[in-house]
Amino acid sequence: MMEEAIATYREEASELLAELETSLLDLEETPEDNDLINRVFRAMHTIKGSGAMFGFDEIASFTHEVETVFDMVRNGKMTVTKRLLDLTLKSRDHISYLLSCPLGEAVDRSDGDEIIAGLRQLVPQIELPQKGSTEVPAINLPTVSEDELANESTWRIRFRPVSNILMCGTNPISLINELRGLGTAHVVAQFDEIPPLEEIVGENCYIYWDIILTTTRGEDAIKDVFIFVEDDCEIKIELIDKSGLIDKDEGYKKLGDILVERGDLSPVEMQKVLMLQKRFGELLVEQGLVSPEKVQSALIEQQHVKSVRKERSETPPQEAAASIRVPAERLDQLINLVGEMVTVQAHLSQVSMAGGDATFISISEEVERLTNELRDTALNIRMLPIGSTFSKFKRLVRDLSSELGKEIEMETFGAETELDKTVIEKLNDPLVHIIRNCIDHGIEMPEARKAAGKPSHGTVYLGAEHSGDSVLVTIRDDGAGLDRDRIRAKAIERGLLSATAEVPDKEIYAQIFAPGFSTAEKVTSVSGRGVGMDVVKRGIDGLRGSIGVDSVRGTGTTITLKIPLTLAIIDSLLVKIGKDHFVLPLASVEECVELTREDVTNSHGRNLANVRGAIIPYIPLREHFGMTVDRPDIEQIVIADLHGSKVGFVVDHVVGEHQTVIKSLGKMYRDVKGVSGATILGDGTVALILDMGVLLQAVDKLENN
Amino acid sequence: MPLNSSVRENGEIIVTSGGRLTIENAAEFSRIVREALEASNVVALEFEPEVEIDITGVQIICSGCKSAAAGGKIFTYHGTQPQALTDIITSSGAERHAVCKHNNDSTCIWFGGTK
Repeated sequence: MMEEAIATYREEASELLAELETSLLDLEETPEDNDLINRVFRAMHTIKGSGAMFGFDEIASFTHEVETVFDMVRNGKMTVTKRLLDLTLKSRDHISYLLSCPLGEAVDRSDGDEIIAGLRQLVPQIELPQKGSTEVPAINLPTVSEDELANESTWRIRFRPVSNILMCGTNPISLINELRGLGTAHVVAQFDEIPPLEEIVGENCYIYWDIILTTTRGEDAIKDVFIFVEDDCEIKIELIDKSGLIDKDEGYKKLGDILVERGDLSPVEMQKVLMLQKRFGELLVEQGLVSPEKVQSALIEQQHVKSVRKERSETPPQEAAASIRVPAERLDQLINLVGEMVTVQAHLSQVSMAGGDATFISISEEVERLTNELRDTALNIRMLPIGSTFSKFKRLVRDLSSELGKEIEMETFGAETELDKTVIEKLNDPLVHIIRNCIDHGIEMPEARKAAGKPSHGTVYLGAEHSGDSVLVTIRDDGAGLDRDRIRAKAIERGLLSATAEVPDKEIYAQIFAPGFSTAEKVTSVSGRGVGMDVVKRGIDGLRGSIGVDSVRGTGTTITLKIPLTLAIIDSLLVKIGKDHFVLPLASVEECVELTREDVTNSHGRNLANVRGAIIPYIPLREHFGMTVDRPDIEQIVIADLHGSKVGFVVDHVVGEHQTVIKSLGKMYRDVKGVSGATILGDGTVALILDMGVLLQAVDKLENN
Repeated sequence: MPLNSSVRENGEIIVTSGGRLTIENAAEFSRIVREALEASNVVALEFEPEVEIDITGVQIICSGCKSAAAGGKIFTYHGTQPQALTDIITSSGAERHAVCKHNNDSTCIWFGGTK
């Protein structure tokens, strides 16, 4: 159970760190936004509190220092500066590092110490808590949210200080005020141990306290308050109420039960008094069993818990309860099962149609409808807004531009656009490489920009939008643009382009994605080795996506990534060659036209078709795959749009649209070019999924050779 | 006026608070009140408006009240309570609205009851 709780903490803390990073980057733009300052504080506060609860003491103590500084910002004692944000972002990274360390093992504190030293320099006028000091700056908690309400507990604390506590320089009221800072507290000072004047030692402390505290912070936070006095003082902390427990009613324990629990009354005495049928508190005082002060204190506890419970019962159902956290693996399992079901449903449809039984066909159609709904719902569960990754890139732009001495800001749009979780994860590396290139090669130095009549600070735009069954991710910069002639020359030098060929600009720009291609004169720590853009190409190909590049010299470059919404189930076109089935992703398919023997003869082996006056090259898949079955009189050309060029794929028959559940081919087949996976058809046979882009490249290469 | 005591013509002893009733002069404060209660049946505390009071001052007032009640004497104050006393009563959770058994089951005139 503890391992599960720790794993959950790690997961939640990672989410909080992502939120923290976003808030800090936004805060850089609007440093006086109190909502953002509170959000940063709250994230730190939660990471610290929960960290302490699950044994992440390093995280708790480090975060406490940063949180304290942000508390000063919240209280207007400090302003947000670039240095503060730099240090807080580094703190975020350090917490992330601490989070990744195995619990209980030694950690490298050097970065953390450096950050804390930096933070201390920022607040020379206000001292941060020193190790060993009993003074901890009081922190006023932000208003308790509904989420926090769910973790609220009520504690009964009896604090009996050592008699010489005042002589030791500790003021018990400061400790009580710290407890008040943790939540809602009722404090009752008990005077019954104060002796008469003949016996009193003026400097001693005789008062002890009963405190009823409702807080979201947990027992450790309460213990922390007493950390420097716990060895000498008597401190009793008892949980008396907790949200999440099913309350018998909104009320609370009877007065007698509270006093017995506190040890102020014995059960026998309570029973005796109950026999008298008068108000219990009055009876106790009358009989001299309990002092009026103690009765009052118990009544305060009763009232406190009653009101907390009442408030809780009146709070509307929380939104948080409407969502649950599910491990990604379980969702993958669900998608797999839905995939199986789609396959079985296809088989059912086939069998029902073959049988011709109207009732059976009707049931099969109903199953088909439900399966489609189930498929869409299951796929939607995995959809996440792409904006969750945007903050990472904002940070990248911020750090790299500062490293390179450039002034660059990032603007984003379409953060709410949803994509499959796996797709988002796989998009990360390509986007990092593209943005690094924009910063290093695209955006000019401030002086160069000014000389070119541009504002000294450059902008990188990152956005996403839906386009049919795909998402277009656009990365645009207002930098120098690509040097068409230089790329062309380099491509010719490397044999990627023919020196005499007239090649459209888009094709020239596409050369930047070739492995090892770089026009950079020097290799920097950021880019220039000609490796990154090749990674982009491979990454996007792996997602069955495509890349478009557009650039205007002196104005900037736009790279557009077209990514399918999901990787699990796709709409496709089912085709046949001989007895074998193949699948072509429908997203790229434009139309199908017939190819007769006469057309083939007329093309004189050049594999070109005339489609309404347009000459379209085609790839005869039968020949390409070395299939020897008889060619039908009329074949079909499936015309696809690949990176803006139309290309035909010749097959025997077009069967029709098909829901394709993608299955990977396994390691044995990873070197097979032109096939990206397989799917199981309704009758149980396997159809290969064709990768049209790779097929085209393979044919191009063959012809060039 | 420093922490001190004086006897009125009617025998009542007035203890003046001076500028502070804190740990620094706690021993002296308790001695003055004790001696006043030994010498007189009625002892009244007069506070300086700007007096500082800490938890030791609160304890000695309570102790004086208990001693007076036990000896059948009166321990009270003249004028209004200073802000410092009100503040420390609130911050230490010392408010008392119920009767006090150490004060002959009367309400506490110092920490929340009425005179």
